[in-house]
Amino acid sequence: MEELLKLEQVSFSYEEDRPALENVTLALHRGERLAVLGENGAGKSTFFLCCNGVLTPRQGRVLLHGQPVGRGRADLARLRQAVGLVFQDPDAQIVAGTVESEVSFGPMNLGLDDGQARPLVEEALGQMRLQDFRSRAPQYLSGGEKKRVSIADILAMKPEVILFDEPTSSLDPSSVALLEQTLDELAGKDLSLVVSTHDIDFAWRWARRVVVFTKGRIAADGAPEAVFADRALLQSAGLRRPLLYEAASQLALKNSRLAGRPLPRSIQDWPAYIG
Amino acid sequence: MAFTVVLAAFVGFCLLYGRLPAAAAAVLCCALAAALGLLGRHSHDGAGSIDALAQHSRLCRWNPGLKCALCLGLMVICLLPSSPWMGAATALGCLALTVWGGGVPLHDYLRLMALPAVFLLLGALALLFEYSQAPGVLNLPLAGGYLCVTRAAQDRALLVLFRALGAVSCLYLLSLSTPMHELIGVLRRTRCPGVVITLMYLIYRYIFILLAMYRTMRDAAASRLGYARRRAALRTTGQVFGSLMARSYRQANRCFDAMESRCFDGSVRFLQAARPLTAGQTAAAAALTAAAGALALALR
Repeated sequence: MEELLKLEQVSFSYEEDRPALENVTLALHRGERLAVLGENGAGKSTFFLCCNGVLTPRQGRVLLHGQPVGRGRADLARLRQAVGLVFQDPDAQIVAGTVESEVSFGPMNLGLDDGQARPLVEEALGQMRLQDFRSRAPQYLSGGEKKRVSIADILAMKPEVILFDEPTSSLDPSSVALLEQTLDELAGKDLSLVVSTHDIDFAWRWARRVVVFTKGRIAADGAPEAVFADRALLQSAGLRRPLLYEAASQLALKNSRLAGRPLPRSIQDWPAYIG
Repeated sequence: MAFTVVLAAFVGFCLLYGRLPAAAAAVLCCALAAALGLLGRHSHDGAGSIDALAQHSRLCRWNPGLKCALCLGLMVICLLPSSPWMGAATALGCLALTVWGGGVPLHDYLRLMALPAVFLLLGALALLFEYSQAPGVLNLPLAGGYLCVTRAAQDRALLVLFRALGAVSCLYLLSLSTPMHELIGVLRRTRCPGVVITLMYLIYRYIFILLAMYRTMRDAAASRLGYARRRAALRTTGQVFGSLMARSYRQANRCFDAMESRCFDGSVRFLQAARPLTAGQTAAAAALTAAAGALALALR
């Protein structure tokens, strides 16, 4: 898989003696579905801000398509266009008075004129099914709708990597289902999707690679089956096993017929697993 | 609203006393106050309500530049003649345009008018009353003289009150038919400095975010009896506003990060919804301005 973004030995600290990220090395590839797990304060959001260039690493470097990214305006614009960041709180992200103008914020900041920005905005609104909301003010939207606007914000910039900072937090179940559907659609577009979440079941269902952060360091990086098999790691990171994973594993212990079968990712996979 | 209604009745009585029989003036003012109180009883939230009403107004589809020009023109015409009738006619015209033209509910319009009305009425009250040795049309003996309302003061207060009411009504016609982001778009086209535009966008957006934060904190405090007694209410209010201040700083930092992550370079730029200037709108605006101008000429 083509490597899009790489952080090499990156360290960052908000306070002198408390590193928020320490020697983090991680590469993101095209078509990847990566879940970032960890307790509050483990360094997930700081990692995202470093990936997007909002924070400058104290040590280490960020590479985009194998090229180091400098701190100049052009380099940062190139990085921020390629690596979109959907913030946890849409209210912190949404700045404009209507959905349409909000989605145009990124493309216009890239120096595009109205004529160039409009098709990008239309496409992003269409992808997020927001065409009927274009003239609505953000303050009158529901939490799920605001989240869709904040994703459309990023899609309009045509990124190659999208970082989602706890996208399922404070969403109702139907909005979470819609978000998962959106993530699946985006994964089909050959983007690299990175989701930080506390929802272990969602991570198990959706991700094909899992990274666990503890105290600013990467404690694990691998396939979900391998990461969730390590009980000691999960305990030290304050995590638990996904419900389906745990149930299927317990069942496999009692029924040798199930041993070796791929564990079910979703409830829809369950009949095939036990069948 | 209740305070405004009582104040309006009192100022109305002072303005009409001596022009109409006292009983008739009192009955008229009480009837007016009761009508205002009944029609304006509905309640929403201030800034959010203005914006929501503007979004749903039928006049929202009009070109915002044309609406700005129309309202500015009407305001200037309203201020030209030295006759209270011009202000009254402008206020009624704007009310008709906003309520029947735009579809803004009358009770919402009157309720929103209550806030500026308090200032206008208090101003009129200050103009009406003076201390004099000679009696006026309405007198209150005080320290060897009179706290009185004279005919000249009535004329002056009427003129100022209705002029100001007309001008405020023009502003309401604009703000209840044009969402804030469209007004800011007009300012941008008139070459208003970029930093002012950026600040206006952010302040406008943050009114709603801080309002939502405040409501959550207030409700959380109320659910724990934070406002149960007067002293507790005072302390809670202080704490809520203190927390709101701290949270607004944190929110501002997050907002700046989010803007920076999308290549923000110090100046906000957005696509604006196209609201083309049509011949019908232009003709209607010209006709309204011409009618107001003709009335102003007739009253000079």
